[in-house]
Amino acid sequence: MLNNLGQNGGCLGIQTSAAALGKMKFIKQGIDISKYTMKPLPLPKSGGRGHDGRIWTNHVGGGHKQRYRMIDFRRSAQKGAPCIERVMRVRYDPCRTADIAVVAGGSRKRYILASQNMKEGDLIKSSAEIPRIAVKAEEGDAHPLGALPLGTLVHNVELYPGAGGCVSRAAGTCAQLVRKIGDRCIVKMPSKREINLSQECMATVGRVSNVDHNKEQIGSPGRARWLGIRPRSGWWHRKLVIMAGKFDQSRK
Amino acid sequence: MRIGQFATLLRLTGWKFSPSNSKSKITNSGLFDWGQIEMKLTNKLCAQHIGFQIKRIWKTKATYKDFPIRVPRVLSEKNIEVINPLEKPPLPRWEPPRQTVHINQLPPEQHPAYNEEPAYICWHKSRFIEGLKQACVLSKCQTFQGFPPAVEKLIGKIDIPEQDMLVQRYIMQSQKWDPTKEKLPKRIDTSYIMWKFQREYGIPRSKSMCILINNLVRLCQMIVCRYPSAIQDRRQIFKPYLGTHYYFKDKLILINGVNEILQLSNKPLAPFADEETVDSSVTTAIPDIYPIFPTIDLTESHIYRLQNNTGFLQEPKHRYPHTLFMANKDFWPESVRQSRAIMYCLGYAVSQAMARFGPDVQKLPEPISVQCVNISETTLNFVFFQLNTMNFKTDDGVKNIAWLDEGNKLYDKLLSKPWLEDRKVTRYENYDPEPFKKLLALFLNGLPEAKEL
Repeated sequence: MLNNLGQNGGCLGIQTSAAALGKMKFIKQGIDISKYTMKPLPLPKSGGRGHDGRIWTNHVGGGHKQRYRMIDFRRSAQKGAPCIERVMRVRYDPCRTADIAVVAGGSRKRYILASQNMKEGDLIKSSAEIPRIAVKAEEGDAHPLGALPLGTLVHNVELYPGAGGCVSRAAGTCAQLVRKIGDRCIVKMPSKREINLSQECMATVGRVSNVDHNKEQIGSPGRARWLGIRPRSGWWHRKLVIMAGKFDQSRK
Repeated sequence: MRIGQFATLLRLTGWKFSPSNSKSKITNSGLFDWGQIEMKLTNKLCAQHIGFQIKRIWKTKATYKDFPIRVPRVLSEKNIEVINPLEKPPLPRWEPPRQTVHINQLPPEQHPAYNEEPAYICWHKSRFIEGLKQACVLSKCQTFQGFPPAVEKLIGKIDIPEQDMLVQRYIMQSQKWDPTKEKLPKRIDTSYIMWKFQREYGIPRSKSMCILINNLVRLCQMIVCRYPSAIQDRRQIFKPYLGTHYYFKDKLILINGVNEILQLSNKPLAPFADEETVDSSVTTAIPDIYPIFPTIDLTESHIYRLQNNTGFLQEPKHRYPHTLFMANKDFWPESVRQSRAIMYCLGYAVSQAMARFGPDVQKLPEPISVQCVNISETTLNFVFFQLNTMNFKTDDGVKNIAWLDEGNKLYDKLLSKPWLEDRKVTRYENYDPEPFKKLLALFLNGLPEAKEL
């Protein structure tokens, strides 16, 4: 949702119908995306509302207070000068399912998405060169899609060169480089759909961290509320088994 | 009332009320001529409560409207302008006074302190991501654990009468007995997250540290009874300012900040290491922090003034920094706090070197040494810094030397856990007398009488 807010973080001071109805409390304010900072920023709850104050996503609301960490999805580097960084910490991030890593190199510190086996002290590289022979890809490194060998598992894939990764960022997911046709690369996304991308689009090698996230059980409806998930209405049940009764898992 | 009120209402609206004989008549003669209307002033009419109507009418009719002057047709046909002699000439258009622009609102290029060469500023909030290694690179120093041998000899040589009892009292004063009642931050115990703590009022961390450090320094000064030179040669300054600079590999680094207490002395502190140790430092290597630049955590800025300022307008009699007392009000690990202490020791040493041997000095005629006490909530950490060289351009050659001594716990603070019966209140236990003996040794160092000990 943050991407929809523009540079200065939203509709502060603009009178809209949503503001008149008192829904402004749901709209995030004060986050300036253009200035990068490592400091966790205060993030008001959205309550599932969009920038217009209307509900965009149902069953969202409440939960533990979170702080937003700016994550740099742009792993691009200049040609001829690969950017080498060291992983300082691997941390938990409340705003996403994956873990994040604090990396430092040169005179820049930033948060990036942690890959599966990333740990403290690792050196990671991001280069922009596309050699004739495919590179030997190591986990956590970022390369253009054209430089990678076929069948490589990648994450944080860019849709357009320099735009920042947006495909496969959730915990444990990965995309796969399937084919290369000319200067276009075909990538199989986590949804099993295939997409045709430029060979200069950057991608990070390996799977996203926190692989066992899908096996985690929330355990109780109360814990779901801590996570900001509101209950469904409770009216409808799938009716399948006997006499069009409702589907009871305990009898199965 | 009725008739009187009714009459005023009518007068306001432009009607005329003429009570004549038994039949009262109301006639209109206002601005708008509606002809003559006759109306009977009956009891029913007077029975109405018309107070609010009067108010309503007063709102509109209370002000007198100034109608435009009617220009005779003769004049308007001849296009003669009619001027009102009472009318004043129009005032000039008012413009709001120009607001003074604050110096920080200007673009940086217009700032009077703008420089083309960027500077890297080290201040009390610059947290080193690589910790001690990074501070070693920036100060080009070799580190040793523990006290330097010259100071280690002085530990436990003297004691103040009833010092342990007094130190324990100071601890309790800083933690409990001070009358400050400020709102403390909310507590969360990770071992029992469900527990909701009651809001506590008491002494905040930063203040309790200041109380403890001031008391300990005052207690250390009690050695004056035995060594009078401790008061003649020394001088304490509270909240000293430091602003100095040096070049690290063609990068300008500023060290700015305010600390708790600075102890000055009238003659420079003797070097901690002998010449052999200094010469052997040529062979030691400075830690490698590739691919990180050591200036990664320093704030880059174009707005600065080159200065070498220790907070004095004139050079005082006691001008040699002896011991620096710092209070750690943040929640950083001890190694990162020690690295900040190294940088401030370097800052005081560099400022002293520039004041004594000139601003462009590279090779020092004699080393400069500074001590630092770095106090946390329960522990005392010590740093001894010896500046052997001002040549920060290369990694080889003679290095500076730092001795670090950390983890000297004065006492254990067991925070309250109200769900356990024996932990209802916060307890202070396991007082250790050793750290204070070490602190006394720092005070003794440099006194002429201490050489005989």
